[in-house]
Order: sequence, then structure tokens, then C-alpha cells
Amino acid sequence: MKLPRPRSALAALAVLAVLLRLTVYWLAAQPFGPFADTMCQYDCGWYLRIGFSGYGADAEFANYGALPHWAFFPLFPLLLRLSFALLHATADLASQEVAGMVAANLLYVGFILTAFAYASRTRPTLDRRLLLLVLVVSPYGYFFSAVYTEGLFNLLLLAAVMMLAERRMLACATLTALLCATRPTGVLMLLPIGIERLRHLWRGRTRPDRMALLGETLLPLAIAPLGLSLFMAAQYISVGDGLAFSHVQILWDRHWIGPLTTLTHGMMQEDWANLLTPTAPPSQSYDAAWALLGLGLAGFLAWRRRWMEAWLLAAGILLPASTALHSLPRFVATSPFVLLTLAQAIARVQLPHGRLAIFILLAVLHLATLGLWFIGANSAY
Amino acid sequence: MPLSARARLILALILMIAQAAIVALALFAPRVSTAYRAYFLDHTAAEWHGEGG
Repeated sequence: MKLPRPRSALAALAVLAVLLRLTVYWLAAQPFGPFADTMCQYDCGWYLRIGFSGYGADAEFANYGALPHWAFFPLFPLLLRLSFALLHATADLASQEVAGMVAANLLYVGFILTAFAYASRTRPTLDRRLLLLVLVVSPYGYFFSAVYTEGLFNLLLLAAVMMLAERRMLACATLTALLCATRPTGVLMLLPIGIERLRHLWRGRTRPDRMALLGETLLPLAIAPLGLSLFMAAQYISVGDGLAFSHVQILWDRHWIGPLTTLTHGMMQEDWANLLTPTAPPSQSYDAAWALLGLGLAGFLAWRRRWMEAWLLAAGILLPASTALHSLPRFVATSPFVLLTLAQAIARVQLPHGRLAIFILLAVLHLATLGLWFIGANSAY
Repeated sequence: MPLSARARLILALILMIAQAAIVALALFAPRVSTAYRAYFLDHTAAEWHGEGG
């Protein structure tokens, strides 16, 4: 069966929506300084430096040398390097920021188109224009336009899930390998692939060609984690520690505590007031609330028997939450499964002007979080 | 050209063994300095006393 393709008019609408949103961002950024520089906050600088100078460059982070770079997975910096080459970015940071944003926004458009195709398969009655609005105006959506992995990761994730549903296992495994080279949570796809391959093995138990069956079963399982394995090999060769990507996270106060502890601790902090002070440390209660909201939605998806979406959302929250709560609002708010569920929920609203009111609220929240992002507030990250 | 059944199986086994070796090296045989081990692996050092990698 062929995958449903987004119609060209919808694709053009998606490009237009992204350009329009970038225009709004550009206008909003004027009081803060150059646009690309204002959009480049927190991890953006890390990605740009790795993309331009490689993992071995000095991280300019105390006397840790190049070590902190290993926390950042290689596929996105590699794509940035390609963008730098195509757009002739120089050592001048401004040119890198622009080239980085071009790459990020192309990936964002790719994600939107993949989300359309995914929605056609899993939610055929959902209006694509409504979905597009959700993808463009929902809070924290600026991560898709900034030099971050959001667009790339979510594009690959949805494509891998679609390939798995089509049982195109080599394509699924290759996409998962790329996913594993983008973020550590890419490994979460290994479980659904493993389950599907076991089912394949069981279905073929009476086949006479055992060698073919075994090869079909094992090859996708061998390809899928390659992105992480090769990154680990590179770290072992360079640093001597194949798990440096995890170990160096202590520099950002991330070390294994367990999600139950971090979430309980976060909820008990009652530090909501930190949200009102941009320079204050991030509010752990706020971060924990986003994590719980995401877990609640994962429970809802499981109830609707969307098992894979539920797994990818819940584990995608619990894995980072096992070290710290920071960034969880971003992970939850930009999850394609959260955005699709939100679009479905809005589609069910029948009140007169109800949808309009919701979209206005989302847009206000979007602009509020964007403003906090522009000033580098902890709560925007 | 599609791989034969035997080639698929051999490729899968080679990739799996290679990746198992990478994981084993990462888990059981890190080649790191004493300072790196104390700070990043064992957490016995509260401050970083090594040179950057």
C-alpha cells in the first residue's frame, strides 16, 4: 500500500504558514536585536559550534575542553554543516545562525508534511488545515524554527512509525538509526520494532526457509540502533568513554535519579513564583506539571488503543525525567502525538466561536513563551 | 541488488556483534583519566581537576 501523500495545495499552505510565522517572529524580535541571534538561545550555540568546528573544538565551558559537546547527538550538527556549506556560512556567528535557521525551518516544513501523511493514516477525519494551525500556533512551537532538533526528530519519528505500520522494516530501521543519531530517546523505537519482528518470527514459524526468516527478523533489529552505536564508538575513540553522551550531562546537573523522585520532588517544590521572574531558576513544579500532563495524555492514547503513540510519548517523558525535569515542557509541547491529540480535541469543539477562542488562547501562550525565549528566560527552555 | 537470505543473516549478525562489542567496551572498559573517572563516572570528585578532552 502506498503512503498517503499530502496534496500540493496543503504543502504550499504549510510553507506559507511557516514563512508567515517567521515574519511574526521577525517583527516580535525587533526590540531584542538581530532576528537570528535573538532566536539562538541555549542549546542553539552548542549545535552551531559542533556543526561548524566539530566535536573536538573547545567548548569554551570552564576547562572542560571539548567534553561537553558529546552531550549533543551528531545528525543535526551534520545537517547544519551541510547547510553551512550550501549557504557559505563563515566563522562569523551571524551567518551560522541564519544558515542554521534555514535548515531548522526546512526540517519543520518536512515535519508538518510528515504529520499530514501520518494524520491521514491514523486520524483520517481530522481536518489538515486545523492540524496545520495547531502545529503553527501551539505554545513552545518556536523550537521548530530555532536551531534545535525538534523538526528533525519529530519528522524522523513519524516517518519511522509510518514505515513500521506499513511493515517496511528496512526503511523503518534506517529511519530509527537516524533517529538514534538525533536524540537519545530515538532508542525508544527499538521496542516497537522488536515486538513487530517477534510477531513476524511467530507468523513465519511454519515457513521452510528458516534462514530467510531469521535474516528478515534480525537485520532491522541490527540496523535500528546503529546511529547510537556509531556515536558511542566515536566517543570511545575520542574520549575513551562510549557513554560520554550520558556522563557529561552532569555538567547540566543531569544524573540518574529516577522519574518518580524527580517528579515528586518537582511537584513539592511549589516554586511557581519563579515563572514570574525570568532570571530565576526554572520552576520545577511547572516542569513537573508539564510532564504529568504529558503522561496523562499518554494514558489517554493508551485508552484509545494507540499503544505505540502512548509508549513513545510516555517513555519520551520518563527517560529525560529520570535525570532532571528541565526541558520537559518543550518535549511535551512539541511532541507530535500531543499536537495531534490537541488538534483532535479542538476538532470536537462545537461551541460557536469555541475553536477561534482556543486558537487565540494558544497564540497568546505562544507569543508569551516566545517573548520569554527572546529574553533567555529559564521557563522558556 | 537485493541481498540474499544468507547475506542478510550474515550482515545482521556482523552488525549485532559489532554493536555488542561497542556497548561492552563502553560499559566495561572505558579508557579515561583518573580525573575523568572521579568526576564523570564515579562522582567521587566534587570538582573537575582534569584537562579538557
